[in-house]
This record gives sequence, structure tokens and C-alpha cells, in this order.
Amino acid sequence: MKLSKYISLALFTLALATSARGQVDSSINYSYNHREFVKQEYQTLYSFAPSMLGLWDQKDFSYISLNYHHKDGNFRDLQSYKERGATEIVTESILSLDGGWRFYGKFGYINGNSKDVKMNLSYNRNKNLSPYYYIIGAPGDWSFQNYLFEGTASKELKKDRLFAGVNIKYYSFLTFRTVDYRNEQYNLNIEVTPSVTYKINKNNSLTFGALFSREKLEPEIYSKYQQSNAGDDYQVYINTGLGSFIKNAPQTTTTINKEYGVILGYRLDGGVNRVDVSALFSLNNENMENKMTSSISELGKELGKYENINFESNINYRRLLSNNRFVVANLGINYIMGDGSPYNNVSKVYTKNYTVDKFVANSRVDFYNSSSILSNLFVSALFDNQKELDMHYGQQIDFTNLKLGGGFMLNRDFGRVGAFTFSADGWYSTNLDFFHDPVAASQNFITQKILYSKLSFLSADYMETNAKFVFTRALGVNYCVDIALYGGYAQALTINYPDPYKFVSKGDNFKSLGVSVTFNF
Amino acid sequence: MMKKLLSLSLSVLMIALFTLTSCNREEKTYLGTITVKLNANSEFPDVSVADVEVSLTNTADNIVRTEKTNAAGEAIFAQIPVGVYTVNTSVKITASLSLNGVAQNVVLAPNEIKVLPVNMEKAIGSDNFIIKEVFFAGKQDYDQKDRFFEIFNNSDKVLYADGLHFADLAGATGSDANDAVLGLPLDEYLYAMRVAKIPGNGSTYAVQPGKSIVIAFNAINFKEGFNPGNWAGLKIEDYLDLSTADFEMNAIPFLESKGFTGNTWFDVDNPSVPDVEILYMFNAGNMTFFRLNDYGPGLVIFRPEQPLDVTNTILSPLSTPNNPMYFLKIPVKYVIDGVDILDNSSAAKFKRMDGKVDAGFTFLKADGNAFYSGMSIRRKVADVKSDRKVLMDTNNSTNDFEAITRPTPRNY
Repeated sequence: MKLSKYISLALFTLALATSARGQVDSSINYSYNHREFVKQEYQTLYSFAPSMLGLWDQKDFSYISLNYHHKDGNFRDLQSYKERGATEIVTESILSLDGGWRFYGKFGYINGNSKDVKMNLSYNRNKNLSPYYYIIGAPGDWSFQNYLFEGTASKELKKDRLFAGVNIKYYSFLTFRTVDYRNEQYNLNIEVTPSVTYKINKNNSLTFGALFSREKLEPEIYSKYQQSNAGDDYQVYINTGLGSFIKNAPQTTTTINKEYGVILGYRLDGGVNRVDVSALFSLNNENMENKMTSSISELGKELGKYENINFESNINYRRLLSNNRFVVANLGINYIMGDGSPYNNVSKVYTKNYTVDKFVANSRVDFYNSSSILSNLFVSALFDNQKELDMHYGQQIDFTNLKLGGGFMLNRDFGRVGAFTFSADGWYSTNLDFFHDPVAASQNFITQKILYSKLSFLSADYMETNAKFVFTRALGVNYCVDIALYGGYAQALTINYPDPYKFVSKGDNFKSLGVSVTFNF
Repeated sequence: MMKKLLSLSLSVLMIALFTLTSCNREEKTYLGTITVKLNANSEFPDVSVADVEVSLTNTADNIVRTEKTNAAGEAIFAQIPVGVYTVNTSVKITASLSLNGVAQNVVLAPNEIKVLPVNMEKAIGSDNFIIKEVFFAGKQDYDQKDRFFEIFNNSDKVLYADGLHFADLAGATGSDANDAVLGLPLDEYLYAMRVAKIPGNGSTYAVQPGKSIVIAFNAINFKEGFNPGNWAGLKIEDYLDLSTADFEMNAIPFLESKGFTGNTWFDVDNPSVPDVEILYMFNAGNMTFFRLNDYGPGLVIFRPEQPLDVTNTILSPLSTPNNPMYFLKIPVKYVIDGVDILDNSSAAKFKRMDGKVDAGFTFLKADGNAFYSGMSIRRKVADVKSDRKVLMDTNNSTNDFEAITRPTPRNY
């Protein structure tokens, strides 16, 4: 897509957001904690199905935010960056119109760069746990630009009874490695979600929806400058499992991922108590293909496929304690079960070689009190288990982590001067269980140069803390600005699986610092 | 009512959770076993095949496993991945005599328990000219003009290089995913893209025992063109002085005799270094030049009994109507020595010479991609006598050659 089209779409989103405020009489809520709550409420309870927007019971909102952050440190996955700086602009809006229409729009753009990404020529790893990605020994720096356009329209079809909606999301990750070997990689995604919500009665409503998504990934790998390649750092591989790989990898490939899903939702709203249950069950099918083929090629057009089922569910309970106080308990789970099957161009069949199972459960309880200086308190627990098996080598990993944490938010309003918000949270992550058996892959370069370091990081016990300071000031009646300074710090406490290469050591840390300016209108 | 629904919702979620997490998939692996069974050589009944070290190379990941044979001559490689393997073993009897066991393209299927008989074949060290070194990958500069190869007198007597032929064999190396196997039988003929011979009257170019001759692409002192600003990290020591080469490959006279213009950029003639006599170029045409395969030559030296018939060609099976390619047929019986240099360890199927010429193959880097690497392929030293080195020659380049980071013309 040309830049001009991006700009047009961005302007359209902005226009939508601003026009919303022009038509609707809505006094801005100057409470930062409330605005954060509303955004989170949308993401948790309404974003999974567009027709749910018909039940939106919060005030409409709009904002545009400019954000810069910088991160760096040694406590990291070696295939991720050591240092990253990025500028981001985001605008998001919910707009209610007469006639039962309600819209949601979001535009996001990030531009930044990352340094010292090791053993990774693809930059982003797939969210669906597909094993396919490019590997190169030579570490590299990357620049990237990400775009997101999202729009939702919902319509009340029958007064207070039936709502229909559709969400269209288009996002792209354009990543460019800036040292040889180069990779100009285009990752374009489109997602369409139609749904209907039916209010059975005053208290109960059901939601049904579907999800269609298509993702296209096209890397183009080349060397800009000839360099001595006496070492092995410039070999290019495609990872196909947990030790399995394709060497002399084709340098232009296309990966298409298609996802089909069913969405179900249920809300019980008793006024004081409210329960939301949502679920998404989807099937992913990913095919990686060689773009440079011929009939005499050793590697054919097909390189490999990956299929997975994905189950996501969320249960949310809110109880109003008084006009100003309420409690929200949320439990989200995500389960992915995937199989990777590289293509054998001799026998002309896909052979299953890789299995992955990942289960994540995330629970959180929030207490809100808008009349108190202590406006929010929360505790949270995150359970994470992942198993991978390479059937070719017999290599297997299985690890379970538990992350516990809590936090708070303090608000103080000084009237015309402005309001101050300070939030902080602290976390402790511990490895509950760990298993790794390389079997026949103990000398394999992926085991030696990637897995040991990666597993050492993934199984480490660590602490993490984040803090944010926000100054809010009203700009007239309908506008306010939030100026935020935030940072985070994580440090390894115990290395449970010592890496022979000592990529991660006890005491290693990872820091982040950022600043943002947000106009709310 | 509220509590019931809440309980019901939680129950449904917990059941779903339990169901999902209890789906503990039990997937089998494809690991298998190869038992290499060495068969003793009947000529040498006293040479035991017990307690012999056998190496098994996985051509996909280049992992080399070694096991010693038991009393029955069996080396058992258990719990190994599916793949294509190369087996190598050698028992040295004397300095110039050894028994080799070689097997290539050994395919292990999923969960297969394979017993692989391997015969121990007699390998007699050559008492003749052998190929000592081939520098073909070049460096990033000079467009690989600094390439050469070296022929060594491995005997204990003076040999004459006059009339010695060499050929760069046709066939891909496995460097490109689109490479195709030539698919011609190799037992009687080899198929050459380029052939040349060393001039002389039969006694012009004497080579002493333990000495060698260097045949350069361009017989130039490349150190003279060294500019430290041009190539970061390269030093003058990295550059070769090939002005003292014994011969150089200059195709211009050959091409002009065919009515073509040569390529004066690649063929820079040093008049003080004699040219080899070009006999055949499959791609002879304007601006072409004589060279060895950039990604790994199949290089043979040979002495035909009669003058080579340069019309005895074969149309390549990989030709297309728009691009017919004719390769010169070289009788295997004339071949003195050969080294099959392929792109990587899994390229065995691209072998361009019969096992009688080279039982194995070699490569610069196990995973390939050695173009412009500056690396060279060199034969190992088997023995050092008081007056000369004796180079390893078991007729198997997998054993006999090694990759080195910088070329060493006339040296080690």
C-alpha cells in the first residue's frame, strides 16, 4: 500500500474521531484512572465481537497519543533486541450516533529501530507459534514501521434486542534489516469479524460471531555489500522445528496464514453484578512457499505448513460496591495446539515433525475507588506452560512459569493546576517446572547456539517493576492532555538452566523508559 | 439466580480448561538406528575390523558421530535422526597402504533399524602426480582472478608435467536450490566443461619429488594492487603473488582461433609465464574465458594415450533448445587423480566422478555458501620424510582433503 493511502486512512480515522466530539455533547472525564479503565474495558469485554459495541455502557471517548520509548538490557531472549527505540502515534475513538449506530476506530503507527538481534533473520516470531523463521548467525540491526487501521460499526437492528456489527482490522509490519544479510520483510494482515448480539431479556444477552483472517509474510533476503564469508555467520537457514532446519534456504518466500474462527459470548447483567463470558475457537492454516522455484529444483514450491487450533476464553465479573467503588475479577485463558509439517520434495509429502502446546491463564482482580486518592489496587497471577517436540531429533522442552504481581494507582487533583497520577506495579516470576532433552540434537547448531540461551532466559526467575507518572491538565471544557513519563525494570534473580554460553546471567537486567503526550477529546 | 449462573459459567470454563490441559499429546519420534558392519578385506585377513573408529556424518546438519566397532566389526549408531548419511572409516596398514570403508547417500527412514554392510577396500597411495590444492572460491576483490590450483609430485622420482591434461567437469555443485543432477553414467566417461593441457615436449617441465607446479588463472602479483582503503579487514598477507606461477590459463589465443574475441579483463596475460594449452571450452564465445567452477570444481588430471578427440562430446541432458550444452567425454581409464569439490556436505548426489576416481567428495564449508570466502581446499600431509612430504592419497577426498582459511600455493 502506498504511503498516500496510509495517510488518507489515517486522516479519515482522525476525522472520524474529531467529528465524533463535534456532534456529541460529552464532557471529558478528567480522571486519568477512569479513562484508562474505559480503554481497558473496551479491550476486555467489547473488542472480541463488534456487535457487543451495541451494549457499550460507558461514555464515548477519543484520544490521540504520541509516544516515544527506549528499551535496553541483557536480560532478554537472544533472538529479540538488545536495544530498541520507537516513536508511536495512536488515535482511538468510540462514537455513538442516532439511529442505533455506534462506531469504533483506531489508527496506530510505530517507527523505530532495534539493535543486536541475534540468530534471527525474520525479526518477529509468529504469534501462532509456527516454527518457520529465518536464522542467520551474524547479529543485525533492524528498522521497522508498523501500521494499524481498525474500524468497527455496530447497529441496533431491533430496539434493545438485536445488535449486529462488523470489525475490520488491517495491520502491517514492515521490517528491514540494516546490515548484511538484509531482509526487506513485508507482513500484511487483514482480519474481518462479523457478529450479532441478542438480548434474551433485560439481564441476559448472547453473542455469536465469526473470525476470518489472512496474513501474508514476504521476506526478501539479499546482500548489499560483498563480504568475506569464511565464517559460518552468513549461512541462511529456515527453522522448521526444534532443531530441524532447511539449509541453503531460498531467499524469497511467501507465507500465507489463514484463520477461521467462531466467537461466542454471554453477558449476565444484574446491575450490581455483571458477568461476561467470551470464547474464540479458531483454526489456523499456514503455508510457507518458495518463490524461486523451477521443475528441477531440489526445494520445491512447498516448504512447509503449520496448523494449529487456538482457544481463547475470558470470564469477567464486575460488582458495584457503591457509586464510586467497584471490583472486577478477570480470568483469561489461551490454549494453542500446533503441528508443523515440512515438505519433502523427494517424496512429495508433508511430514509432521514439530508439535507445540501452549497454555496461558491470566487472572487479575482490580479494586476501583474513584473518590479515593488510591483509585486502583490490583493483584494478578499469570500461569504459562509450553511444550515443544521435534520428532526428527526427539528434542523436547516443557516449562511452566508462574508470574505473580500487584499494583496500585494514586490520583490527586489540584483543580486548575491539573491532576497527578502515579501508578506502580511489581512482579515476581518463577519457574515451576522445566524439562529439556536434546536427544539426537545435542550437537545441533540450533540447540547449541539458540536453544540453550533461549531456555536459560525463559526459565529464569526474575523480578519486574513498572512505574508511571502522569500529569493531566484540562484544555477548555472538552479537552484535556495527559503527559506521562514511565519506565520499567526487570532483573534476573535465579538462572535455573545454566546456559553454557552464559548469554543470560544472574543480575542481568532490562530497562525501559518512555514519555507520552495524549490529547483526550 | 445470579450465583447459579456465575457458578455455571465458572464450571464450564473449568471443564474446558481441564479438557484442554489434559490433552497431553503423546507424539512418537522418528529416531532410528544404523549399524555399520565392516566386512574385512580378503586380501588382508589379519587386519581386524574390531575396535575400528567409524564416523557417520549427517549431511543435513553436518553432525559427525563416531563409534568404535565391536568384536563383530559392528559400529552401532542408535537414536539418530532420519536423514542421509555418509559413512567413513580407514585402517592404515602402511604409510602408503590403507583399507577404506566408505558409504554415501545412506538413507535412514523414520524409525528404521538399518544394518549397513561396508566393505573395506584397498587404497594404495598414488606414486604419481596428484592434486595438492584448489583455490577456486576467490576473495571479494579482483573478481576471483587470483584463483589457482596446484599439482604435486607425490612420488620419489622426477616426473614431467609435459602433456598432463586437466579438466573442469560438468555438473552442478548443490550450491543453488535449483541445481539439478546431470544424470549421466560415470563409470566409463567423465564429462568436461573445459579441458587444457600443459605444453612441452616430454621433458620440458621436470617436477622433483615433493615439489609442485602452480597453474594460475591470472599469473599476477596481486599484492601490488593492495589498497588498505578498499577492503576493510584485509591485509597484504591475504593477497597472493601468483606472478611466479608455473602456468596460467589464458583463453584468448584459443578463442581467437575460433573467431571469437577474448576477455581481456579476466584473461590478463603475463608473457613471462607460459600458458596452458586450451583444448576445449563448452561455452566458447565472445568475451568468455577459461576458469574452474566458482562453487566447486570437479577437477581431474589425466594423460590420454592418444591426442584427445575434442569432437567426442555429448549433449547435456539439461540442455534446452535455446541453450544446448556439449560436454567433452573424458575416458575414466586415463584419469590419474581427481577431486570432487561440491558445495556442501549434503551434495553427494551431485558427484561428478566415479568412485574409482574419488570415492568421496569434499567442500569448503559444510553448509555451503563459500563463494568469495577466500578459503581453499588442500590435501593433507600423510608423512614427512627427510627430503619431502608425502601427501595423503586414499582415493577419497573426504578423508584426504581439508578446507583452509587462506590458500597456500607451494606451501603448507
